[in-house]
Amino acid sequence: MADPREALPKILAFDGCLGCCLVDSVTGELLGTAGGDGLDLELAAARTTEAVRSQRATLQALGGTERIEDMLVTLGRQYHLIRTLGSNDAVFLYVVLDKARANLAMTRHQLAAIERELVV
Amino acid sequence: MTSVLVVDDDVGLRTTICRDLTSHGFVVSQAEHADEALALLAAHPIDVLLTDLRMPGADGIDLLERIRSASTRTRAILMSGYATARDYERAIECGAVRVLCKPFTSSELLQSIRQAVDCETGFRGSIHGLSLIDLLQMFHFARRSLAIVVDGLAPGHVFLDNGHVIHATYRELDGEPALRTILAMPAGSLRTMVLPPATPHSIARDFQALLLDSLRTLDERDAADRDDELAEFDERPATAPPPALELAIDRLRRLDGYRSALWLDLRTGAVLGSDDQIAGVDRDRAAAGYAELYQIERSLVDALSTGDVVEDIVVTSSHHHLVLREFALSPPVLLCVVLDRTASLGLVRRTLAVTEAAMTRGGAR
Repeated sequence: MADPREALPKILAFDGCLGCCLVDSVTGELLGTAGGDGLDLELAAARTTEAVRSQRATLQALGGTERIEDMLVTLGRQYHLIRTLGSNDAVFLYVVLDKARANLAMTRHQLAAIERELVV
Repeated sequence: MTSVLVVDDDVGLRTTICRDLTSHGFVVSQAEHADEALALLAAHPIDVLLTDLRMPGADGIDLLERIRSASTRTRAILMSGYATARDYERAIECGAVRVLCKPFTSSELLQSIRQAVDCETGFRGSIHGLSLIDLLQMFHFARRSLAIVVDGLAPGHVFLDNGHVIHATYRELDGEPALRTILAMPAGSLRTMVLPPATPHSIARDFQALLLDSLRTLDERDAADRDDELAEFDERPATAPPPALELAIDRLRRLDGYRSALWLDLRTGAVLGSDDQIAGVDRDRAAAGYAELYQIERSLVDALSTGDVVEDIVVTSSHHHLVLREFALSPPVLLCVVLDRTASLGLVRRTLAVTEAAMTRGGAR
């Protein structure tokens, strides 16, 4: 079992990772951050909380019982990857990657592995 | 004297606000959480409620919802350091006069309280059978200065100063285009608010000329719609994708794991069409949710001020992928594709990216 203090530096070490954080999707508040120089992770966390809630509400309204595993927002120069914790649905990891340097597929696998071990 | 109830679990901030308001002559009481606030409201009439958003137990929005029935005279102000667009929208829906972003200055606080006091008189209720145009004319003749919030698919705002329409907003539209869009709403609900002090003047025309011109534009649009209906035998089916997207959707349909797609007008959220395979799902609800998600992400990217743009969004849930991509058509179209987890996400995203690139090269708009 991993703790956020160990998990976030590991994620920051991924190729192309610019910053990452752990977010409480109930309040939108940051539970921990790593890296993120020049990035407003607090703002990103608050707005992404809104996006996660919105998508959950849509899935619920459509009568499904599905849970969101991850969300990938592709920008011109960055990837923003959001992964909810299997052990705690109210918490998600938010990772910002440099599109030119990151290996997205590898990052998603590595992030899923860390997320499975992470307990909050 | 105006009574103010301050609700915040942060004792330091609560005490500072109470001290500030007391020094300005308000009768101030305080509560640490929503339940304590409701008990105080039940015991004494309160003019203005100033509540924090995030609190242990019931939050500020819950409190706003509950005071609507518990205390009709109380006007509310929500305070928050983390208010999202949705919190803001919900607060206004629940009757908040204003959302005050922390940290705020003493003068901002006092201005908010004055704004709430200004709203203190008047009725709340429902009026049926009057159009928005009827109401605009009433406010015009009464020379009122106020903001009208119209709740349709998205909230629209019309601002009147001394009876004249000076500004309107609807989604990313403002000025006369926004006003025409709001006036075209067939039904909805509305409420009035105090005219914000820094309201821009995007509409300068005389009220009557503006209204007549807006009505003429709406009539012309209705007539064009009727003509389109008469010519429907010559038209493509209503649910056919825009021509620029036809090829992409045709390719997607042939991919393993493809389930369905719908395309919507990103400005209004209206569904323009969908695949038959989406039957059985509440298409409008799905579209509204997808459009909201896309707009949230787009506004986040704008707020981050990196000069970057959203290319696409992929949401992976237990059994499906959802892919959202905007196409710069006129109107802008959001294509929403639902796939099984067996589908090749890379292939789908590439198909959409190639379509976008081809449109850009060919200038298809």
